[in-house]
Amino acid sequence: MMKFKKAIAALLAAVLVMGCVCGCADSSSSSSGSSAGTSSQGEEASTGSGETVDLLYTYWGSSFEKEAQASAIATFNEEHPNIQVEALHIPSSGSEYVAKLTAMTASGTNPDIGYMDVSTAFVWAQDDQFYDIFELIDQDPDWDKEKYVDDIFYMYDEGKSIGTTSSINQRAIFYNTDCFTEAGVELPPTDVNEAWTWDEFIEVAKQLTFDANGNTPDSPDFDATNILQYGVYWNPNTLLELGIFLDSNGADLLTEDGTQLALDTPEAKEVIQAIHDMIYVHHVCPIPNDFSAMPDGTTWLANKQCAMFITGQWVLLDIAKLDFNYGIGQLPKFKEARNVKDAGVRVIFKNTKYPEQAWELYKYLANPEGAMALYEEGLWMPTLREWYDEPKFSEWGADNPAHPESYKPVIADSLFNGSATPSYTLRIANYAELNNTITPLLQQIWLDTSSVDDVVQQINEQAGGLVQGFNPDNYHASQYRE
Amino acid sequence: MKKTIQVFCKSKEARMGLLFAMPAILGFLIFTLGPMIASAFFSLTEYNGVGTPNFIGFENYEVLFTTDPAFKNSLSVTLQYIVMSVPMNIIVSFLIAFLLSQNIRCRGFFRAAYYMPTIVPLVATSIVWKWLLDPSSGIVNYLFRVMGLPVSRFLFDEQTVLPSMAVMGVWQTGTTMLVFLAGFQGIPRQLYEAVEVDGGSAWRKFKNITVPLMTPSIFFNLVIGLINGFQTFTQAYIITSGGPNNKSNFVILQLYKEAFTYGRMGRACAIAWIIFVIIVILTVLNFKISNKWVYYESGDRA
Repeated sequence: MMKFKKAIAALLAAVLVMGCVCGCADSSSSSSGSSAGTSSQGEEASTGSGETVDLLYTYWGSSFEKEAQASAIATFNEEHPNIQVEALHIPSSGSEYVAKLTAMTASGTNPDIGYMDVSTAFVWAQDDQFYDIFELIDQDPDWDKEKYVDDIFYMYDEGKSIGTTSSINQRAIFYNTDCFTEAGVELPPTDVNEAWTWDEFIEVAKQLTFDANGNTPDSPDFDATNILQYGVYWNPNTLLELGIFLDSNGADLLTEDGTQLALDTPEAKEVIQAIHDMIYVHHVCPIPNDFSAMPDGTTWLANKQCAMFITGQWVLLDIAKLDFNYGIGQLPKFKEARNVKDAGVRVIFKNTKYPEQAWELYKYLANPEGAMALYEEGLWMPTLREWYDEPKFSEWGADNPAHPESYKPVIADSLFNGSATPSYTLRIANYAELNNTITPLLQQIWLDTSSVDDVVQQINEQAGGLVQGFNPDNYHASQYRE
Repeated sequence: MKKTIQVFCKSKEARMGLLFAMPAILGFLIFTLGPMIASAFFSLTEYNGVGTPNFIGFENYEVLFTTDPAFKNSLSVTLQYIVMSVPMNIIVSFLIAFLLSQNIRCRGFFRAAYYMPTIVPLVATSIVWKWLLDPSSGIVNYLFRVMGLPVSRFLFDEQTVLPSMAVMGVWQTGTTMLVFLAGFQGIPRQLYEAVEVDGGSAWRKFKNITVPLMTPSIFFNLVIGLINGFQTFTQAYIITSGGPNNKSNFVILQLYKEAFTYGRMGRACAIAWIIFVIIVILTVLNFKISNKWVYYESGDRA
């Protein structure tokens, strides 16, 4: 009896432990039995003409994006009586979205078309989970790769693409005009050829930084522990953001042959040191937001806690709703003025029963007309070239609160004047893991606990083995045009 | 033993009992044992969660133990956290439970008040603590400044992030406290009275009656605390994403990243199994050592 009791106790303990540990693995493994399943929803419906076809579209985003997308889909359904799209909004992006899609895909109930986390999309593409979007474009007599802005295809193999970015993101300086006029400082340039050098930028930022007694960092009485207004606010929380300035100084994440990390070059170290010095030597930028619970930069800008905010154009959605004078200026440069283009990817799943209709929806979603609010209010930028030419440009990119005059020269034009290069997410294989490994190490610099040389060495040791080279070349339409 | 089972199965009562227990047994088989076996299989494969698993033997385990610095770091972070938080949680909740078992005024109110934080979702708790401990605008640093104490970066400093999270954890120990509280109720009054008759002090009562009779509860909380410690995830996921410099990258967070950021479900399953084995070993050790210090009134030792 004793033994029996003991056995039961042991079993109970084992159950308890297992139940706890395996909690995390459940979602992946319990549904994996049918992983080979290639059936999609709507199996019953046939593709015969005149019959209605059901598509499932999944996406993430704020409630604002949800509203705009839902109305775009409603319009699509009205215009296409034979295609009925169900739009499923999954509130959080990143790994939670992936977790949900993994479960759906493994059980064969995945969407026909949807957003996809970029790093996971590359992994799944190797398993042939998505349509090669180039194939669909080439089959469509009315469509053409040249319709898209350059370099926005996510390439998973030579000449094969998972899809285009769902929007385009650009970076710039967003500034509070009043801070500049009050300090009597000239506004940031809008012309890419007049972009400030890094040193000029730091000088301006110094004139816009004040402690509680109104002293600037150049004053001997300056109190760095009690700063009321910072010249600039920037959060280098991903390699992608840092990459803009690396690129500007002629540095890159990887060596030219793509076999090694290249953050130990003098050019790269110079940039990293300059950003460190901006925070700890010149005191013109606060310690990055990742290390505090402070409100985001938009609030800082509106409250004059910072004069300039370096971030992406999506911030216009929030800025335009706040009551203060703002403008947009060119990013500072080291050697060349640089910007970046990136965004999440939209894919068509290989197991869809209705690739034609899914492609129809794919084209429609790239067209701002359906979801004009997303563009008009500043959150998104069109992926289709024609929307940057008049008269279509004015429909979204001018004469509204989210698009001041400086929008076109600084943000829209940088897509076409060569300053915006494809982001690391588009160019570099295994970016997510590189970023997740290197960014925490860089935090030692942003927190002033280690020297650049030390950290670069740690990066080479810990992330060197993760390098997988570059993704296949992107599609540069303009290159073919010339 | 065999005979016992045969007899057991023949009786109608036993069959009915089994039938009634079926929902729980089936639940265990389908939702726990099944996935466990599946995850054991996947841990031996290269698998991204949606494609076809590709059998690779013990390569996942090999990589985790040899070339993967992130996993080793996450194990060390988790162990450090457990060493800090488990004893602290047990001591603090033991003392609180002890106070709450006394005949104080508004006892019900205080008991509810101290249990309350456990009901609040950990996500909300995490965000509140993130504000409280904010380096520049947080109230904790504000109070430190007012009192002339040195300020800290708490959750945003490599050195202080784990201790800060351990302190946050104390807030969530309502369940531990509840177990202790139940344990205190079970201590027979006459034992205390015996000490009183002998003229023993309150400290004697505590040391010679309360603590020995509470060892089973302490033991239970230790085992559960260890298991929970290994599963720490939400705080780091919400507040620091494992930073700064991976100093709060708990092993479950690493598992989550492997599964849903890098698409390596196979390796994530391998991590789950490694944690499982570690927990089993620690639990067995615990039971072994428990003979030396846990006192069961009936004399029946587990």
